[in-house]
Amino acid sequence: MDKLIAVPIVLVLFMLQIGIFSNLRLLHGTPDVMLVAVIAWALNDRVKTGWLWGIMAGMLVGYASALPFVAVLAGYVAITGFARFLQRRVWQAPLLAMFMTTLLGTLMMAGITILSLSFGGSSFSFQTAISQIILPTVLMNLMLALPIHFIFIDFADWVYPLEEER
Amino acid sequence: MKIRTPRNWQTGLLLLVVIGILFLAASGYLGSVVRTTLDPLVSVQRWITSRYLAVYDFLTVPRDVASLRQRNLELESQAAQLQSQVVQLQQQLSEAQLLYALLDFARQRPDNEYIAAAVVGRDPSPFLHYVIIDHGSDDGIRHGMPVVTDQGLVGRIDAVTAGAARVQLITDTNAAVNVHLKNSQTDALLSGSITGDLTLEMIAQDVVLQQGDLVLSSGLGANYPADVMVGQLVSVRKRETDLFQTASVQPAVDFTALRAVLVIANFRPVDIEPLNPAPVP
Repeated sequence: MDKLIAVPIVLVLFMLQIGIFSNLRLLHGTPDVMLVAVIAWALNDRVKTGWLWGIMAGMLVGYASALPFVAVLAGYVAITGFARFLQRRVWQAPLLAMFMTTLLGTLMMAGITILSLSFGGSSFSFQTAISQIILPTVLMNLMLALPIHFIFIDFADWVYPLEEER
Repeated sequence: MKIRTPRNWQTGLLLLVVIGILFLAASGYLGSVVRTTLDPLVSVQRWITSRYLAVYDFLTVPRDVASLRQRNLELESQAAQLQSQVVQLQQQLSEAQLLYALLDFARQRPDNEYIAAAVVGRDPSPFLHYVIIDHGSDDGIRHGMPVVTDQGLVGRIDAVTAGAARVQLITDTNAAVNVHLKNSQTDALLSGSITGDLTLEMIAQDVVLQQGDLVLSSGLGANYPADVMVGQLVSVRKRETDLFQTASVQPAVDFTALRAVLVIANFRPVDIEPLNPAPVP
């Protein structure tokens, strides 16, 4: 059940991302709700499908985006791995882990994008990229992190209910 | 001996008195008498009526409040429905206006075949400027086809699936359009950027550029059709040390509010890559 439910949820998140969230602009940055949702899910200690969500989200975003498919998929898988690693290390401070992973995950995806564009022959100002795109995106992702974190805690409670003590 | 007045005389006298009083009243001689008599009566009547109405209101108001509340709810519901209808109609009106504008544009260029499509999404990466449209190869859309609106050039088809296609906007950092400046009568290369700003490059230093000059596609390179509106020249950057001067262009199309586009179906881009000379090792 927990594996099956990943498909509609990730699909809905993907549609929200390309239909709504990609249009919400702060300067030239846009929030990445897929990334934040994958992080929130992977950071939950009861969740067993974190990797599945990361791979599915990476494949969908890689398919829709003009960025190289492998680069996007690798980025999502790496961020999921980092979230799972951090969940074991800072399990007593889930909010701190959420904010930290969101910050580093956003920067990682931005780095992958910049590398892909540079390898593709695009020339752009690195300073403009930071001030106009990366920082606004980080800010919006951090703003999304808290509500998404709590939504996915409730969702995890629903998918993996606690067994009653006898 | 008691004198008895005949009954008909009594009646006649009474009649005369009544007629006399009526005559006096009609003539206005009894006004003050009538007023003096009636005013207290009217006051008393007014007092009785007001008290009656107060008691009536007291007894009937609770029922009226309930019915008024019910009526208020009905009217609120009706108002909400009407507001929803107004919003729907405004949406339909704006869609119709958009489609009429696209239709007008298509009619002005009858030699082209167009496929209308709605914009359903944007690239998830904020670094890239691509949109996703709801028509694909099943509708005849192929890679490289130019995309326009009634305002001007939008971009070209970058990737196609059966039911959708991805359009690279001219504002994308990897996009390059050969353009022609109408007033300056010179060709240039228009390129996008990660922030979506358009820049004109490869303009010789001796060319005099003017603000407001119209930028049209030139058709060179065979990637886009010629004479499609691209934008307007905003500012020029000219330095003596540079080989070429550059300029900023305000795009004709509002890419943030892009909702529907036309794909030019009978324009096939020509791949001129094989004609380029191979680099000598």
